Amino acid sequence: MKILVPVKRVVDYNVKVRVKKDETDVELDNVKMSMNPFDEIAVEEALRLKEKGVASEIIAVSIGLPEVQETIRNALAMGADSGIFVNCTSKLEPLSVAKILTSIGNKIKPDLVIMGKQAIDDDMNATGQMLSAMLNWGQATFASKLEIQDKKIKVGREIDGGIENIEVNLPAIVTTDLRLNEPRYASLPNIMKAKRKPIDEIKVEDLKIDIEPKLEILKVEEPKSREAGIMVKSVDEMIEKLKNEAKVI
Amino acid sequence: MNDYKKIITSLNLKSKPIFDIEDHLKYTKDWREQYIGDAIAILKPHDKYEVSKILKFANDNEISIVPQGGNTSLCGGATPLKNSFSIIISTEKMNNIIAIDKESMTITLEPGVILSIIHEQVEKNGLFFPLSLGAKGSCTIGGNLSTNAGGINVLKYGNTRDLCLGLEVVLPNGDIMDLLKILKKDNTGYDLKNIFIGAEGTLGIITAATMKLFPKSKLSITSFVETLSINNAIKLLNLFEQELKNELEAFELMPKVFWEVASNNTKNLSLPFNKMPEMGVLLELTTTSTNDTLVNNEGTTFLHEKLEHLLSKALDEEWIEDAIICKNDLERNKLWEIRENAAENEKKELINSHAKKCLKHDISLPINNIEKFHQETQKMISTKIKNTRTIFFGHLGDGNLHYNIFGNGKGDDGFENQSQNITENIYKIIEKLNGSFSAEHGIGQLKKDNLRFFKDPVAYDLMKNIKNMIDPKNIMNPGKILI
Ligand SMILES: Cc1cc2nc3c(=O)[nH]c(=O)nc-3n(C[C@H](O)[C@H](O)[C@H](O)COP(=O)(O)OP(=O)(O)OC[C@H]3O[C@@H](n4cnc5c(N)ncnc54)[C@H](O)[C@@H]3O)c2cc1C
Repeated sequence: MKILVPVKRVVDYNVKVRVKKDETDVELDNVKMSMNPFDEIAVEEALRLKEKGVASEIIAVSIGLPEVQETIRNALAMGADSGIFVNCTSKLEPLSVAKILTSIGNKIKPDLVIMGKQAIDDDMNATGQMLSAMLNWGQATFASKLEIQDKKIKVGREIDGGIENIEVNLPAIVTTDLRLNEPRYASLPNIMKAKRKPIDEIKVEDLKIDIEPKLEILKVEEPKSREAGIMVKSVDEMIEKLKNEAKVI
Repeated sequence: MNDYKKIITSLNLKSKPIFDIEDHLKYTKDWREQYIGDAIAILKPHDKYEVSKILKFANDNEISIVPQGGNTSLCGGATPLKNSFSIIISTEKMNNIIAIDKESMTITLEPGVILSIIHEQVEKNGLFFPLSLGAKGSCTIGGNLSTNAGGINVLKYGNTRDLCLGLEVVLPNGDIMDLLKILKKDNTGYDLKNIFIGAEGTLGIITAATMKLFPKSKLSITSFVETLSINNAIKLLNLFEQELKNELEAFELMPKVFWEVASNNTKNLSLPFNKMPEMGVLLELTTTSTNDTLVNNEGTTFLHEKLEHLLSKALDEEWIEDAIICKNDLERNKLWEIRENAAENEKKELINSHAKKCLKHDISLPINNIEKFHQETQKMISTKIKNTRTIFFGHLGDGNLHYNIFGNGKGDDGFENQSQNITENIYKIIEKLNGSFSAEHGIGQLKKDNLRFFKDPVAYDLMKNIKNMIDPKNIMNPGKILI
């Protein structure tokens, strides 16, 4: 079984993101970039399927500027077998990414795509669902448990108030939630091995698909900063403030 | 007693004095809960003038003063003596950052500013303040200066003393001495500020300081390495010091016992390897050079490549068994959290293991004597008492280890009786191997007998003379450092 894992390079979760002065985007200069945490969970899950003998090959794919190869290398250092780097300089949105992934999916024909439920930079939560529609494969989003049986995949989905268990026929798209697993560290021997693993480069133009942005960003601004809390001296004072100042009771 | 209350109240301080003994415990008990002292009042001055007023009053009336910042001293330094007639001066209301100067890269601030708040504010200005230690969420810059605190970044940036450019101090008689300069060069007689750094509040109260800031790093990479012995870890350290001296920011020893304690006291501890590392090392590289951050054709930054290269060499030489390199800050923070929770976890371990006592030592040695020290000490302990556990870890890059011995916890194991004997013998081994029995936590009330015993006698006398001259009535933190 072949698994395709899309991995996105995003601002590290730990960075306090700041808006650019001209309000067109967030500041990306000199900012630490890492693999989207949900994608790391996807890579880990694919590796576990391989270690169980269920999967035989894991391919990591990333789209963007040459730097995204660092993210692919990280997936390879964790244990993925090979990478695909789609060289693309234009701005990407979920629809374009889903189109590019569809084209790659048709080419390499994976049995399963495991990907993050969303990227922590724009929190779109759309690519997996779009990809499922375009490939006309089943989807299991927000997976926190995953099991493969014959040609079916059983997934526990995180929903409000609990877990929903569903079954999907393969090939399918699974998007990962936080509790699915804890990704492994990359060991030095595996980092060194990863250097010898192949990364195929594809130019996005060669795929001949329309990736013209359909969304226009008008403005990016900081959320209103929260006011500092105050200490009240008594329950009565709190009730008084809730009534008269906050006007919530 | 009531007269004093009246006079203290008549000082008319902005914050009301705390006289009620019930409210004192937070201030009169030390972090490790080894000491509980007595105070007649807790005062919280708002500025140097209030400090001056209090000290003058205390000096005139010969009342002891115990300065206190975050109260995280590990040696009972900020805890008054039992049955003493003391006032605790808490600096918590003196918590303003006076200025951050981006051009001269300095910060001037009041003593009660909490270390992690400094980090936050400095970071907001695109700069970096390197002092960092496990207590950063509670300890204050005044306490850091007064203990000349070390922490995890000493290797590259030095200890608190090295970061300090200027001080303002209120002397015991109430005089305010202004040594607040941001000059890198200032040869104008004796360097008085350095007497107050590391003085543990025995000479005066620090009311403001100017500290050095640094450019924020453009990239930092964290790695965790397993070796089989202290000596192999030292070989790795030497390799990094030769090849990446400017980039090496931290080199922390975290052996198997350390991980056992961490895992006993942490839910879902994530291990870097499949098993507990034998002799682990947490190391961090940082760079401010853009070149180091560039990505090569293989998608690796230059700094990462250098790190891989050195670790591969160490692997070939069989100095190390395995290594991981953090892929993101989540992994980095997890590892550092385990390191920084060391003191907390030990505290929990002591309670959970029912060991009556833990003997703590904060020692430093010439690096090449560390393995020898460890062997000799373990041999010495085993001749005195069976089944103890030595939990050691620390800033290997600085030759500084925390070397803490736990009894086996089975009721009366004789550990308490032997403890003084063991500590004395450890200090003798350290003396023989040219080390120091107090590396970074200071003397406080815990180690003052040892100081008298081990300090060069001429130096000890000079210290006493300096103390007598600045504080003739011995009101400042009496019973700390000196006997
Ligand atoms: C979890 C933990 C980890 C630690 N890790 C490290 C470490 O890695 N490295 C290290 O060096 N230390 C470490 N320490 C101990 C360290 O000395 C203190 O954490 C810190 O430097 C003290 O700051 P504080 O504000 O809590 O001072 P306090 O404990 O309140 O006081 C310390 C001493 O300074 C005096 N003092 C305080 N403020 C003033 C002032 N304004 N003027 C004059 N005297 C004053 C006090 O009288 C006392 O003698 C650690 C402690 C803990 C609890």
